[in-house]
This record gives sequence, structure tokens and C-alpha cells, in this order.
Amino acid sequence: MRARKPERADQRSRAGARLRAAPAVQGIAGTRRFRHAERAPGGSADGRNLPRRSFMNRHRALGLLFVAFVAAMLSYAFSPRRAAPLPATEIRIEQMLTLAAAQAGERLVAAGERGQVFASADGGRHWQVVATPVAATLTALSFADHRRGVAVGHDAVILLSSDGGVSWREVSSAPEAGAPLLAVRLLADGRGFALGAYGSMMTSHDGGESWEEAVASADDRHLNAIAVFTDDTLVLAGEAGLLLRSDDGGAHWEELDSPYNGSFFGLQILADEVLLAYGMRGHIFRSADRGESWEEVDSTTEAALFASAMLADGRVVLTGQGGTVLLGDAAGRVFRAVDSGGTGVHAALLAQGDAVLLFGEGGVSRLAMGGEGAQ
Amino acid sequence: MKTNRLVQALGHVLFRQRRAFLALFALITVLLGWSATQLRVDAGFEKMIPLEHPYMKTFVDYRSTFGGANRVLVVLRARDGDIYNEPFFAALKSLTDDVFFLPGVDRATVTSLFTPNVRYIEVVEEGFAGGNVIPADFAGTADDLAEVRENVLKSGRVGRLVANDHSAALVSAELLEIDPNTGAQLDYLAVAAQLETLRERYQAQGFEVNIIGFAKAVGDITEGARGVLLFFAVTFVITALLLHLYLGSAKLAGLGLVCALVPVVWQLGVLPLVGYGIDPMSILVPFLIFSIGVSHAVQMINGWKIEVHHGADGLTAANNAFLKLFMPGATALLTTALGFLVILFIDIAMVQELAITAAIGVALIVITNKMLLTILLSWMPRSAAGKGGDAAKPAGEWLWQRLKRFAEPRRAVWVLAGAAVLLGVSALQARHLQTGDLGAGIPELHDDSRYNLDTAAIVESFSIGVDVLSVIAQSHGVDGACTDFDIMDTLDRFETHMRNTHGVQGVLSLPGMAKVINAGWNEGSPRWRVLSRDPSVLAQSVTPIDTSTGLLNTDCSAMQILIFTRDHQGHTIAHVIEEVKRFAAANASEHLELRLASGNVGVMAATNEAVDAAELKILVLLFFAIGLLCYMEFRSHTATLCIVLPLSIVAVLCNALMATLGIGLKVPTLPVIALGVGVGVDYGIYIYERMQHELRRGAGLVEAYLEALRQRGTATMFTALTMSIGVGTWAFSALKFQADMGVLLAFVFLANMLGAVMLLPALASTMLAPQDRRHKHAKKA
Repeated sequence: MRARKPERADQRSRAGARLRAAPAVQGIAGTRRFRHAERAPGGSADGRNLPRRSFMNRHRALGLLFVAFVAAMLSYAFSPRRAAPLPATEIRIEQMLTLAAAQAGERLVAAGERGQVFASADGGRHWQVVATPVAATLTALSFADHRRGVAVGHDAVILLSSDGGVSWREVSSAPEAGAPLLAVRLLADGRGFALGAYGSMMTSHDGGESWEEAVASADDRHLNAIAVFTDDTLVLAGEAGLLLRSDDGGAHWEELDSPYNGSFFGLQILADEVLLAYGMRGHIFRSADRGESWEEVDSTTEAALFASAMLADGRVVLTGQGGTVLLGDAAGRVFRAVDSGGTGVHAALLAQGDAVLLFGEGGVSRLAMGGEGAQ
Repeated sequence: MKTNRLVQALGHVLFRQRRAFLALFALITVLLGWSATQLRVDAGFEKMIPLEHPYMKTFVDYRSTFGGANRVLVVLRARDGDIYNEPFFAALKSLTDDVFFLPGVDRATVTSLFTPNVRYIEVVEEGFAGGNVIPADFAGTADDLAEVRENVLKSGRVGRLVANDHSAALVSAELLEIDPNTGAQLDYLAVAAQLETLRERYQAQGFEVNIIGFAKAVGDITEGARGVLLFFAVTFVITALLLHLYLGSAKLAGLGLVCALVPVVWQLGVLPLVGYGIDPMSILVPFLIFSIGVSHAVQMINGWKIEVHHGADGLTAANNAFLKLFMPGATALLTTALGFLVILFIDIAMVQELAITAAIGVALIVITNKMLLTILLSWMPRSAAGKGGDAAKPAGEWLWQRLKRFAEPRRAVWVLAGAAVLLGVSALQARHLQTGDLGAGIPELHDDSRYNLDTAAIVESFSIGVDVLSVIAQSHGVDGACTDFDIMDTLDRFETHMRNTHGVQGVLSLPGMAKVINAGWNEGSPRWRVLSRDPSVLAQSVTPIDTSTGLLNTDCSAMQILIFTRDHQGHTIAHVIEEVKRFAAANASEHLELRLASGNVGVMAATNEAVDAAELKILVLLFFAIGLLCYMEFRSHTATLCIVLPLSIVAVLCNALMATLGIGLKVPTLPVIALGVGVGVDYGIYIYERMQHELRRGAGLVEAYLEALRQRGTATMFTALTMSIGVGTWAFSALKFQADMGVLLAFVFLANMLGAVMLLPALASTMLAPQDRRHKHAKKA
């Protein structure tokens, strides 16, 4: 009683007539049963239906259209979904450790972990990645003018830029020596000094194009910082209280009597040729006579100090471990702690008028120093 | 015809030997009931994960090496101000002692400001100096507190032991799953209970307490699962009341309930026999079985009543009802079971157990409902059917007269148009459905559960991430990978890459820590935060890192990189995983293999991928299977389409609802459509079967549909309602996934019922196409 032969033909014709709903449409298998129903006594009134034939055909087409629509919607609704993708991975300054920062004309340049260099054209709000040819961590930056600058770092790499930090090329490296360069200074007259671990030093006389090894100290203590007075007196500071001075533009160096047996991480020249040397455990020493004699200044902190900068009004800012920021008066005698709101290490800073940009862990942060002098 | 004869023969045997069958069923019930008491709770973690997924193979391979995830954190928070006051330190000291004496605690790992393993180290001129953060002579004076504050800063524990804003401090401890002395398995529930008493004690002292950890989570989830028993009681009572109201006879209602409970007992009894336990997911199966049992019992009792109203005695009525309902009922149940079995394609043991136990339960209903219930009905006096039937009829008739219009062609067009619009809108909305859990905290519990609130509070005030993806770096053929510069440097680049990936909050890896230690050896200067090319210097940086950090194994052939993600939303996870794969592909090396993935996010990633892969497969199989069964039953394309199309539309609606309610497509919600369709197909089958019967007898479609409604409509609507209520009670479950499943299943059941009574007749009226016969007629004429 169920499937009878003629139905097969019905099904075949159905495939061809999907949406046209031509009169030839014989219909779906259910039809068969309808014919039964219709033959039975008391079937529905055919007479009523006859004038509405075209309506019924349209109706039928609608049914098929509906089936097609459901099929389309199903395949649409259940086709593989993909949520809006996240932005592509890009190196961002807030995810990198930056160890050095410098100003090249209007442009700010920062360098650090894994040879990354960043540049900002809007005073440090936005930073773009700058390509470098190295993957060694960069530790120091110095610009002689708004175009020419050098970056140094681990593997004793020295990078040179002659377009204000937009592009960099490698001019020297010694990966196997295991002595990183930790500080650099490129002067306007073309001289360059790069210093580093185990007393290593490299000098340049052609604006950083070529570098040669030089010797400043007799022992292998690290050299961490360099300061250049306006009269070309050079001072170096380093590990375990090491202090060196050259009065002949870097040709000869003499070791100064050190006030401290801990390491110095930085030097800062203030107005009136006052020199600050700072380093471990919050120690700050002050010299008014180019390093001949030193007095200790109360820093109010025991955190190591790694970097410094002079504000436009002559005041000095020092920064270091554990989010420490110290604000000192123009004479470098009185310091007080400023809350930087962070606890990460600050490894470099740049003065921007009355404010400073702090560099280190977690990107760049701007800290206003206020107009009032340090008490 | 052949099947009909078979059914007749079966009925003949059944009713002739009805006493023997009853005794047999009673015996089975007693035996399986006894077996059900052997049921054990089996909430194994492994059952919840797709063990066959490559990520999970990594997870299993390295689980014993990098365990350490079984930690408990108890945070003590000052209600106002910071922690540096005498009462806080007194409380923290006593809390540390309390945690120390918790069962299962590995006492060496207890860490708080008061434990000796928390020291500060500072670089001084002569080298390193250090001491305990809280000095031995600490007496709580202002000077002492100031010194402790200094030491806390020096210790570098801010964010880990002390909140970033110094408003809270925590005690952390690792739990040992196996007691090393007794070898006994740790009772997590006991630990969870003790932690809760600690919370009460210190909150009474005026502090806020947050507790997180696997033990606490297990405790809270188990607690939540227990609540389900209450829901079962509520469901039972509601169903009983509705059943009584509907059937108008306590006897018949009791009969229905008993026959719905018997398969539950049988199903629970079968579980221990096939080696299954019960877990927070399969605990829901008895609800389903009970509801389906009630649904079919109502059809059967209704059929019996109609026979009695037509003048049959109890036995004849039961026999006739059996003959009429055996085929549609058995088909419906078979289809339901098939729908459940389709879920087997989800490669997660817990879901597969759900599928099998539910399918077994449904198959058992064929016996209890078609055989046990009809036997019992055969002893029912005619009076039981009397007044209830008459009283219900007029009320139903009012509705049927309105519903039958859906079968009228002109109205059907509007119904289809409405359905098309609804479908279109839903399809658009369904595109927004996301894979994975969309909430914060652990997905098993609600976002506003105590546990997840505690998690949020801890994540906010400490630098502790709870969503972690772990990647295993396995070295091959390298002796001492930790001191191999190339390998360490590659991993350092990997860390950098992942740190810069969007959706990643932070990365913890051996190279990253070694870099910090290298700086420590160089007076803490950050300029030395690098990996040395010199193996001996590198060794110096790596040696201080203990295997207990979980970052390396004992011979350092494998290292673990912990990637903390911003959240565990599906697309965040997918993106992070993709970036890991991208890096691994770009840095393929025979010496270093980066293996995905472990950590809770690794498990979620594997689960999401398994769910995504299963979704389409399940749907296609599901509709193919039920379509085939419908076709075999009705031998008609039209019938198949009339039954399957509404179900498929509801499937889209369900996805759209999930997207709207913010419910993700995940392990517990993936089976919902299959369960819903498996159950919902019954309505269509019961109604169409009756309709077809009337059509064959020569009725017009509208009359046929009206008759189908009269005979099966009340039962269909009633069962959809009771089933929705049954699963709807889960919405109040403390377990989020039960609540999600409850809401969705309730919706799908109701929507499928509406589809069966509104869309099915409309579809039939357009597609059964009365003009065809007229057309033939015209040709002939």
C-alpha cells in the first residue's frame, strides 16, 4: 500500500520543477495518499477549489520557496563562524623593557630589549617600531645632533643612524667577547666614546663610522657612565666606586679618589658645573670641582638609581628601582621622593620641559614635576 | 503491514500474560533499584576534556612533570586602609598557622609574609644581603610595621603576597592529592569545608576573606550539583500536580508518575552495570528520562481514555491504545535515542557518557511506557477516565478550533512568511554565537558566585593571572637545554612575541626569569637583563630557579612557558593559539619543539576546537538520522519535511538565543540542540501520524489536523509544558552550565512544540498540495 510504482516518476519530475511550480509538478510522495483521500466519499469540495487553481499553484511554489529558504538559512547560520579577529601581533613599547632614550631634534628615540628601537614624533605619546639589524639588547643611546646618533648594547654592538633615528646600521660588534657596551656618548665634533663591561672602551673619531678599542682603566671593573663638561673634561663612572677623568679629551685617564665602594650607575652635570654621581642603594655624591672632592647627599631612598635628567629650570630628576623617582634642586643638594605610581624599574628618562618621560618596564610614562622647587 | 502484525502479536502476548510481565517488571525494578544504590559519584577531571585532542596529549604527557596547579590561595583583606597595623598582622599570622594545618597541605610550600621562605634580598656594596620580611623580634610597633613595609618592597612580593595597593595579603599553599604518609586520597570536600570555616572566622574579626584554588572550586561545584536533588523534587511535585490537573484522576496521574520513575530507576541501576558513575552533567539525565517518560505516559493514558470514552472496557482500551500508539511512540523514542547518540561524536568522555546514559534511558522507556504502563492501564476501572476526559474536552476544543486554521492554505502562507522572517532574523543573530565560555572566572560557576567574585577580587588587586595557557618547550638531542644559548634565546623571542600578542596579559618563562637573575648578579642593573652567550654564566642565571616554579623539569629537557591571557573568551584563545602556532612554524627546529598546550586555557582551547569540529557534524547527522527515521515511518517526503523543517528552524533559533543571552557554544550547550530535537521530534511524529491516519480515511487536511489535535494535541502541549518546567528548574542551579542547559532546553522544548502545532500544519497545507489531485482529476476529465 505504501510505495507504488508511479511515484518514482513523480519524484523525478519534482527535481526539475523546483521553483518554477509549473503545472507539471506532480508533487511529493504525500500526493499519493491524497488521491486516496479524495476518492473516498465526502472528500473536500473540488468545485470550490477549481477557480483558485492559479492561487493554489502559487501557494505550492511558496511552499517550495520556503523549503529552499530554510535550507539557505540553515547553511548560512551553521556555516563556520569566525569572531572579529584581534589585531595582529606587533611589538609595542609597553611590552618591552626600554633601557635608553634620547632626543634627536623633534623626534624622541628609545631603545632596549632585543635590539628594539622605537621613535615618537609627538613628544612620547605614540611610539613606532624602528627596524634595526640586531637582536642584541641595546643599553645606551646618544645623538650628536638632530640627525647623527649611536646606539650600543650587548654583543658589543654599535649602531649608527644618520637620519635622526629613523634607520640604523651596524658599524661594529663582537658577540663572542661577552662584554656588553653599557654607555655611549657621541660628540658634535665627531668624537665618540662607548664604554662597557670589564673596563672595555671603544672610541671613534669620525662621527661613529668606525670604532677602535681603547683603554681607560687598568682594571676590569665595568664602566657604566660618562659625563662631558663644556670645557671637554671627561668623567667616567663604574663598578665598585670607579671614577676616572680625562683632561685631554680622552687620550689619557686618571683614577679619582672615590667616596664610595659601591657601584655608580650614572653621572649628571648640573648648572655651575656641579657633577652628581649616583648608583647603588640610593647613594648620591656631589662634586663641585670636577671630581676632586665629593660630598654625599641624602637621597631619602635605598633604591638603586639608574638614570637622571635635568629639567628646563635646572632642577634634576633621578630614577631607578621600584618605581623610585627623586626630584632635586638645581644645586643638587636637596632631594625628595616623587610618587611615580608604579613599582617597575625605570632605566632611562628624558626631560620634557617641566615633566619627564620615564622609560623601563611597562613602556613609557609621563610624570609632571610641577613648578615648585624642591624643598 | 508487517510491522502492524508484529505489534498485534506483541500485544496479544503482552496482555495474555500480563501478570507474568508485571511480575517480571517488578523484579527488574527491584534488582536495578538495588544496583542503583551502588552508583558512585565520578567527577573526574579527565572526563571533561577531549583526551584525543593533540593539546590534551601534551597535557597528559607533562602533567606529572609540571603539576603544581593544585594551589590554594587565601587572601586576607583589610576593610579600610592598608595592612600595616597590628591587628592585621596578628590575624595574618594566625591565618598562616591555620592554613599550615589544613589537611593535605604540603607544609613546605605554605607561603605568606610570616613564613620563613619569604625573604628579601638586596644588593649591597659587598654583594647580597637579605633577611626575613617579618623580623624575628616583630612586636607590631610602629617602627616594626615601617620596617616590614620596607622589607615587603625589597622582597619584590608586592602583587604576589601583598596586594598592589597594600590593602591585602595572602597565604598560599600547595595541596598533595595523595597523602605521602598514609597514601590516602585527599578529600577535597573536607578541605573546602575547612576553608569555609576559616573564611567565617576571619570575617567575624572584621576582615574580608577571598579563597580560590582547585580544592575550593571542587567543593563549590559539588555543593552546586547537590542542589540538583532539590530541583528533582520540585520538578516531581510540579509534574505530579499538573498531571493530576490534566488527567483529572489521582490514579491515572499516579500511574503516569510511576511509569516515568521506573525508567529513571532502571537507568540509574544500569549505570553501575556498564561501569559508569554519575557526574555533574549526567546528573541531569534522570530529569530528561523522567520528563520523556511523563510525556509518553500522557500520550498513552490519553489514548486509553479516548478508547474508554468510545465505550471500551479497561483491558480493551489498553489493548487498543497499545496498538495505536506503539508504532508512533516507539518511532518517537527511537528517534529521540538516535538524537542523543549523535552526541557521541563529541570526543569528550563526559558528553559521551551523557549520550549513552540518556539513550539507554530512552530505550528503556519503550518497555516501561508501552508495556508496563499499558498492562497497568488494563486494570484501571473505566471510571478513572470518566469525568476528567469530558471536562478537558471543551477547553481543548476551543483551542483546537483556533489552531486548526494553521492548516488552511491562506493562513498557512502567513505562518510561513512569519516563520521565514523569524528564521532570517535568527540566522543573522546566530552568526554572533561564540565558541567557548564567555564569562570571567571558572566556567562551571556563575559569574556572581562567591568563588568567581573572589577570583575577580584577587585578580584585580594582585598581579596574579587565573587564565593561563601553558606551552611546553621540549628539547631534542640537546644536553642541558637551559644553558644552550640558541634554545634559550629562541624561547626568549617566543616570550617577547607572545607578550606582544593582543589578548595576552603577561608571560612567565625560564628565559625571562633567568634574565632578571642575570641582572641580579650584576648589581640589579636592568642593562644586564639578558641571556649570556656563555654557558657557565647562563647556568648561573638558571640554577637559582627551582623546578617548583613549574618552569623547567629536573634535567631541563623540557620547559614550560606560561602565557596569561586577558580572558578566556573563545576568540581570544583562538587568536593566542594561532600566534603560538605561527611562531612555532616560523622557528621549527629539530632541537626544539613547542608543544601546545596545557593550563586551563589550553584545556579550553582543545575543548573549543573539539566543539567547533563537532557542531556541524552533529547537526548534519542528527537531521539526516531523524529525517531517515521519519521517512521510514511515513514513507513520504512531505511528512519528513513537515516534521524536520520546524525542528531545524528551532535549531537556528536556539543558536540565536544563545548569542543573545551571551551563552557560548561549549561542551554543556553543544548537546542541547541534539537533545531538544531528539525530544521535540516526538511532537511532530505523534501529530503527523494521527493526521496521516485521518487523511487516509478521507478527511480534508483541516479536519485531519483538527482530529490529530483532539487526540494528541493536549498530550503534546501538556508534555512540552511539563518538560520545559522540569528542565527549566535547572535555571536556578548554582552551576552555570546546568543553568545554561536548563534555559536552552526549556526553550527548545517549547519552540519545538509550537513548531509542531503551528508550522507543521502550515507546511502540510502548502506541500500536500490538494491541487495535485484536482489536476489529475482535470486531466482525466
